[in-house]
Amino acid sequence: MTVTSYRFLLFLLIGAAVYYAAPKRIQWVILLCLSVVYYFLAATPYTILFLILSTVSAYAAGMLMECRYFRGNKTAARWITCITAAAVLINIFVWFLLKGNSFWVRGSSLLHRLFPAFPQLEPLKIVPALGMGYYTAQVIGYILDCYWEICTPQRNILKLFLFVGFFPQLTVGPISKYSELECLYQGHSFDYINITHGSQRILWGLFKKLVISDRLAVIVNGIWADTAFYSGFWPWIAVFVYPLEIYTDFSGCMDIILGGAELFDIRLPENFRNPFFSRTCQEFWQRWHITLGKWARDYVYYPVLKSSLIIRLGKWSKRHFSKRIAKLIPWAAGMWILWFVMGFWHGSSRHIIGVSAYFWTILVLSEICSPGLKKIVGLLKVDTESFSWHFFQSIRTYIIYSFGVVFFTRERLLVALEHVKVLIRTFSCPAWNPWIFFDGSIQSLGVSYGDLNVILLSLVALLVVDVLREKYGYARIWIDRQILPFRWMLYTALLFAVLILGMYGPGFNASEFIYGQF
Amino acid sequence: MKRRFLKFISFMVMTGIIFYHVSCVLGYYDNIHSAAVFSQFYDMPSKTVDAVWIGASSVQEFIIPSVMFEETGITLYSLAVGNEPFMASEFLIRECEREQNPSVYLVDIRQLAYTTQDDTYVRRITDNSKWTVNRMKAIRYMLDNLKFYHPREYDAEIDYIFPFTKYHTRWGDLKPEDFGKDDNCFFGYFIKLNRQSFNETEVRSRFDAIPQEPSEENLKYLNDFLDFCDTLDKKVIFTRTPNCLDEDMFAQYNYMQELIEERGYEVWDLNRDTGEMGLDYTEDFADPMHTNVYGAQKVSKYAAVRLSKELGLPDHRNDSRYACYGTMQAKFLERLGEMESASTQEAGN
Repeated sequence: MTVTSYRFLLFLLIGAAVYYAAPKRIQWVILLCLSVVYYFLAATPYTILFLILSTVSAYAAGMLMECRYFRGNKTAARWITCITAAAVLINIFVWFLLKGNSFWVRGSSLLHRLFPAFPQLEPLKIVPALGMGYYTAQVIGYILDCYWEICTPQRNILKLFLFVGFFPQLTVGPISKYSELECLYQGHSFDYINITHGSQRILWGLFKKLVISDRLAVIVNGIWADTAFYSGFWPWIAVFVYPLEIYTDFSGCMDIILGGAELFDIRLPENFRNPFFSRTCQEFWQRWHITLGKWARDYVYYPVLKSSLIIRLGKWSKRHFSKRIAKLIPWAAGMWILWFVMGFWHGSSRHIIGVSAYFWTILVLSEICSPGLKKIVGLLKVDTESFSWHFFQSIRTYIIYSFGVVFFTRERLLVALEHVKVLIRTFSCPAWNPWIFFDGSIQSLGVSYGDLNVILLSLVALLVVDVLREKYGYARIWIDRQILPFRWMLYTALLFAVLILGMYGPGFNASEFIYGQF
Repeated sequence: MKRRFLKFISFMVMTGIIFYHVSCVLGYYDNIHSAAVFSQFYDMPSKTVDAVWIGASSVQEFIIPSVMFEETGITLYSLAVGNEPFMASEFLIRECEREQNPSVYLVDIRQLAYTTQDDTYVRRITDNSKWTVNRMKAIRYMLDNLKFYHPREYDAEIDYIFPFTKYHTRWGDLKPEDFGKDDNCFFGYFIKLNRQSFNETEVRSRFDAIPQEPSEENLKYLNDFLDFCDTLDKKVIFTRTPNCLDEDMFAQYNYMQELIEERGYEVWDLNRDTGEMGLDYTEDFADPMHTNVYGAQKVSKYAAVRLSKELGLPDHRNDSRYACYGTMQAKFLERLGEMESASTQEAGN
């Protein structure tokens, strides 16, 4: 049951009806039941055991931290640290065991080659749990928050299970903090506004996924599937279209999830804030997959910066380098660990780690070069507040991001490198084919002129909504101010755009969400 | 809250109305006018059809209801589309009972010598039918049979119930017919001018082929349908429209005719009446399976006379309630004239 299926929408509808019909004090039980039912409908049933294991480990850790025996003295503090470490490691181990298959299989193969006595491991044939990367991160966050006494441990294991396995976020997150989801346990009254806003958001998410993303996927996949035929400018089209595909796919799914949760009056944290309006790479990562970024910042980056090793490195840098470089070195080291963890979370394959290394390099280089660039801009008397300068910066960020994600969905590093080679070959004579933009060749990918018009118009609609979002926080704030006929016209147009132009139904293999694999 | 509830209901009603019209436009389409066959049937004034002829192209390309009306004043509808699965017959009769309640049903058995392996032919019926419990039952029955006899992957049942999920992608391919403007469908019939000649003596020699049992699947459909006919309080006549098919096909039809007659039903083998209807094997066939428009007019006139005489169906020619048949006949003749002159011009060029 994917979140774009009518079954999911029906499930939400029935779920919301039952939820509001139930007394407030047991509404969280309804949510728990819905989450379990959803899990059985959407995933391999036995994998719920991994979810239970994570919950039990977090619950046990939280309860032990609360226990009076472990409080009050230095030994007790050490015990609490050990308990926390053990609980975190259990979760990382289970996640790594199931999601890091390729890493440890390849690692064991390498060790086997070096030391023949070392056993060569076979990939596990156990299916990972649904949304494992997301809920594992959430559980680790909860354990550390309890350890740092940011939150009080949950005493009801079923309530904690609801936090871990709240059904809308099991597909692609967001990665919520425990404090952000305490509203799960409160009673909620039926509110017409929540229902309408939730439905509107779901509809907008469906539009992004079914109308835009799945159409763009036809272009991108078609080109990368046959680079021998689609040479020259073709791969460049794929490179620059792919970020739009991944954005509409991931943010579309997030809209469905956030809208779904809103039906129950649950506000999940936002994961996107118009990333393509970013003027720098650093800003981009503050607007893209926000909850993962925040999680990595709070539970990896800050603790690493506070670690004795990095502090010592900072002191050493101060002694040997200028003030600016001395500041940069521990920051770069912390960022390297953060990017490594973020990359590893996405997958243990080398090409994913390559993506992380690429973005880390870009960030470090931009930090190193920024004073020089600022001087140049000053000398050229560029108005840095002008629209054109902002536009140029956004385009630059988009291009940098586009190159980074060339590696992202390729199956192996070699395939990704092959694609880079294809891009470079464009400028050699036989591959020079700019006429493909004008002679209708694009239709050979299975995209008609009608489809291209739909893509262009939809992207204009997306841009308008994102501009409104940038200005008002939510596009709906602007929409709510409009007169009723105009609003109804918008909603009807959106609904029928999804119904008519959406890529669903017989003959379409509903593509999975790109971020669903994590 | 009351105001909001009213607003919600109004929005849903408005959306529902738009959706209904959109789904009518973005519906089933093919080049044999299947959608028009059903929409014209549903548009007929209530209880104005005396007889319904059910079958595949063996009826659709043979029977011109407006010609029959002009001949004897009987009102017959040809509820037939190409490759119409025989297993759909029960559903179609139930649909006719609901809409028109005719006094006689004619059911052609041509399709019983062929197997329906493609769900497109099922969709030709179900996707163009009204949304009723009867339709749901037909979908279930036909899909179950398809899955049993021809196991492969089919669309989910929900996609048959809501065919919009399949046809919504047709937005880039809409034609005037999708907006209800099909000028080439005349109560089920569409004009074919082409000719193919056959040797009448040779064809006639196949009529008495030794009966041969059809496939188990088709036999099941026939028996199921006969069981249904036993429960139906209406006159049901089975037909065999003229054709120039191979001997083994005639052998199967002969077997089925014997079986049907054993169950107490009448079978009109029109192959044996071609002399009486004046059908010319060298001029009136479009291909071995179908007559052209000239052959179809002869078959229609003959059938009209026979239905009037044998079953006493009334003459409605002077009744204004049945004016649509006269109008349709005028349209048919006009279109035939246009096509003939276009064909002559083409031949001249």
